[in-house]
Amino acid sequence: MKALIIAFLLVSALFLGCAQTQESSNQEAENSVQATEENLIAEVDKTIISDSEEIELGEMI
Amino acid sequence: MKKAISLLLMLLMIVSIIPFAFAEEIDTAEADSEEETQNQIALMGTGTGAEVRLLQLEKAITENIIRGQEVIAEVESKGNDTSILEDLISDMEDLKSRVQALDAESEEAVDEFVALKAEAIELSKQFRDEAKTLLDKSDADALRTRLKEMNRSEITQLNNQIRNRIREYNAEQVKNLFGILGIENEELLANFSNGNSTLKEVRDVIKTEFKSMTQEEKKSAFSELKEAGVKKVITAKAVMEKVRERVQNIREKISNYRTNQTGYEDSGNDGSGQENEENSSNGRRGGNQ
Repeated sequence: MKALIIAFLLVSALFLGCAQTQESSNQEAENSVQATEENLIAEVDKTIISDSEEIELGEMI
Repeated sequence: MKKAISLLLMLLMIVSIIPFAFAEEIDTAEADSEEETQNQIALMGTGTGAEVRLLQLEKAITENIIRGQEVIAEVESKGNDTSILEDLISDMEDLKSRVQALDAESEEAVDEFVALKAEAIELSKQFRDEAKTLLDKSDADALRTRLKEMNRSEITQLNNQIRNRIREYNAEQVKNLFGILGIENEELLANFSNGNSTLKEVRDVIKTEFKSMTQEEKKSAFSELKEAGVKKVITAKAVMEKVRERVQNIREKISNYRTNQTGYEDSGNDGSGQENEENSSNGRRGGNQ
């Protein structure tokens, strides 16, 4: 039973560790955005509204 | 004995995880919807952008009213009581009037957009939940397919209005971008504004001009653009935070309304309901044209 509890704690710690690492790497990626052509176009696209954009309210049936 | 305890513990662990799994699913759906709204209001910083979003909301509500009326006709044909459905459609019609009356240039346009959209989503959900109790699955499936093929002149008109406003908004944005990037191309701006040039052509010109910039110029232009984008996101997040409680109240009130038939009213920010009356007297189109 001790082994089971230890295993559970280990898995939980591993899970939390992974989540933390993922968050740090996302933050790192965000901070290191370069002034490249692709990034510039991505910023340009963010300022534009596409003709196909719709507001979704959900179905009625 | 040890085996039994181990099994019991494992079972306990599994059972305790289930609610978290469901909660995660609901949270993700709400977060998606919130993120979507946040992206929508990030482009409401100008009168034209706000007008595009209000027209899109008006169109979405109009579509759901038309669909709702079809559902009511179907429920009636089965001999079932449609009074709750009719009340909900009547509320959606009131909501549509409030969207139409909202002045896109007003300070509260963005807050109101978020609240009205939340109200429309909740009313649609309540209608859908009620309708599902009144129609059997095969009738509901057949009706859903019919509704998807629906084509109304009212919607076509709104689509045209939206397309024109989007073109106007995008032309303003491209002009602004050209200013930041130091691009002078009046011909392309005029053509883009008239719908004679595409966004791809604009992108190509931006790419070409960007290539000819020095590293320092590239950095400076990109930073300015990025900063403007970040400001929009921060402002949008602040609005979402500001109206979160109000949106939650709207959801609860509408939800209780169908359950208890008690009636509901979104009282706005100050709780007096005065805001909506003021908006009604301004009028979106009257204010801008």
